[in-house]
Amino acid sequence: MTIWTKRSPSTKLPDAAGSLDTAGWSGPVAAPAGFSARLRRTARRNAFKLTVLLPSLVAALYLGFVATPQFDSEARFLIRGRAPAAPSGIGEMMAGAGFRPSHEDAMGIRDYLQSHDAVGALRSRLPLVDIFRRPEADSIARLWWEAPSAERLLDYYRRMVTVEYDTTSGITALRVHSFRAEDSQAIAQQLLSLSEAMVNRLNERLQQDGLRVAREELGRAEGRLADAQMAMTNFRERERAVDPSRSAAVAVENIGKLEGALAQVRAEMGEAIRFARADNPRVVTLRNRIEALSAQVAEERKRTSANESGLSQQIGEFERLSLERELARGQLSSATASLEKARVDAQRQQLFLLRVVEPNLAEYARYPKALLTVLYLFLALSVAYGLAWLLVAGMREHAA
Amino acid sequence: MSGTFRHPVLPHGLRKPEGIGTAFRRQMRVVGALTLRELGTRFGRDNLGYLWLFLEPAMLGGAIGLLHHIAQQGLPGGLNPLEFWVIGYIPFYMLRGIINRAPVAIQANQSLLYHRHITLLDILISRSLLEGAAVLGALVVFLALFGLVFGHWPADPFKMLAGMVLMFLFSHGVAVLIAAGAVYTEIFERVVHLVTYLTLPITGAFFMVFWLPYEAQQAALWVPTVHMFELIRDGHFGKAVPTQYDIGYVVGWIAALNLLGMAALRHARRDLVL
Repeated sequence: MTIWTKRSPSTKLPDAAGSLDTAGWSGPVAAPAGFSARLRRTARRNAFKLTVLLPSLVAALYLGFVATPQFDSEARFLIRGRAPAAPSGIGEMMAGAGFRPSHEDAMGIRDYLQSHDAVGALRSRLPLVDIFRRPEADSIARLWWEAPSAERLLDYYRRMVTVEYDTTSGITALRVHSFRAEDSQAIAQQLLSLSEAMVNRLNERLQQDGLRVAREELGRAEGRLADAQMAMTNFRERERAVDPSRSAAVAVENIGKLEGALAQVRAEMGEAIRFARADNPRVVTLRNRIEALSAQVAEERKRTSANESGLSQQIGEFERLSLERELARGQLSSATASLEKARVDAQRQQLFLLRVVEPNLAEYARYPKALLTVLYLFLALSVAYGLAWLLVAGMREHAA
Repeated sequence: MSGTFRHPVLPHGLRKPEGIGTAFRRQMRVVGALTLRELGTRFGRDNLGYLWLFLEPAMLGGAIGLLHHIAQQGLPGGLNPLEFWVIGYIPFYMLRGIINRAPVAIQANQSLLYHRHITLLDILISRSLLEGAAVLGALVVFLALFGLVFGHWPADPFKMLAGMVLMFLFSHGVAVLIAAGAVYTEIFERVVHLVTYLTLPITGAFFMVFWLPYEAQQAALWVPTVHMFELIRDGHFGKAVPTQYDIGYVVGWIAALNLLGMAALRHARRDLVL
């Protein structure tokens, strides 16, 4: 094969360029010999075909004839309930009132569904590797390893399962692709139930955290009241007095009554002495009564004054005990009230996962989207080719 | 068939074409030389000379950051106002600087085109590179300053660098397109400052996507520069703030802009009257 190149007209005088033939053609120039040189030349001439058309064609052939159809299954759910944490800035303006979607928890569920934790849980419920390596799956799209490491499985899983959270509606959309419609549905179903389990775990934690403090408080208050009551009982048994302050009052009252009676008898005695002799029986009786009453009063006085110090101590301790009992009672009632409140709060903070759309059983394999993918690839490659061509042409301008 | 007939000597004037590698190396040398020349014509050697190259963006960025730091507007997400404004302003300075200088680029360097090895693209690349290097220098100085003063080093410097490189390529693409347009009409020279000034609020230099309500976020994410600013902030603040960006989208924009720009430049070269 020979190449003929046309030379530009010589700028030299015609007779100097006499060696050229008149048509302006050079002599035959040898084509670069060798296989690699020829390959390079062919590649350069067909650059567009090789870098843009060929890959697009290969992709089209693969997607059109080889690729196994993939069925998708979609589920949507809402996570509602808890009031969000104090919003800030512009977030404040957007926060509505009432029973609102809870962003943090929905994002938590989304992250959970894309984690190795979810893959592990899913693997224990479904033969995940088998599902991704169905015999009908083509060898490019399926999971390449028979016993994949957790990371590789996670990467593949993330390609097949997408979870999107829409912040306006608060709806989380779960999309699963696989090579069989039933598989997609089963995976979506299991993922939903995993999310529900996760929500329940979150709820449990929330409730227990909220109630634990209140329960501890209640237990402490109950213990304190029981202690106070026990101390009171002990005191009563030890001192043989139900209420020392009252028994003191009774003693004083007794003395008062006795003294009153004594005064009355003395008055009667004074009256009787005026009219009767000293050995008159009435006078004798009165005298005996006075003696008896005086003795009684003296005895009572003696007993009270002997008990005086002990009694005041008793009263002091009794007062302390009864105060303690009152306080313990108050604490118990407030602890009960706060436990009730915590219980109500926990119930209000309850999270719900509401299934909006149940996973469907696909009838039509929507993936892979052959036409769109090929078109996109072609466009992207064309732009890249154009860029490369322009850059190379720019460089060529610098060639001598 | 080949090899049976071989012409012993190539005729005079038909030299073996040079390899693409040689041409590329030569282009790099041309760009380097043009950059040095640009440096000389813009700043000269008197007073601070070349130092102005990155003192300019550093001063502007620092002054604006300091103003907002003193005004102390609380930023959502608990960001340091000084850092936020400097990190936003310096890349924006590059975008604006490269684009604003584009319309006069060809006009100012037209005489150079008498040299065979200097092309329009070389001129534009060298001018963009100079601007980009200056801004990158200023940014590095500020990052070091933040690290030393606030003890806050960038969470991921590579992300910041990637963001700056993307921003550079984007600005360059726009600049090439504008320079090519300026060959045909003066209108670019007249409106480019106005447009860069007016688009300031939507470039994403001074807001973060997560501050916006959902609909506004969706709208903002159509703007390619928003992604780059988000990437730069992700690199600086790390996980402290939520960021959203799609590098593929930005690369698509850059590819399209540069393709159109270079094609337009080739076309403009033919119509350029020296």
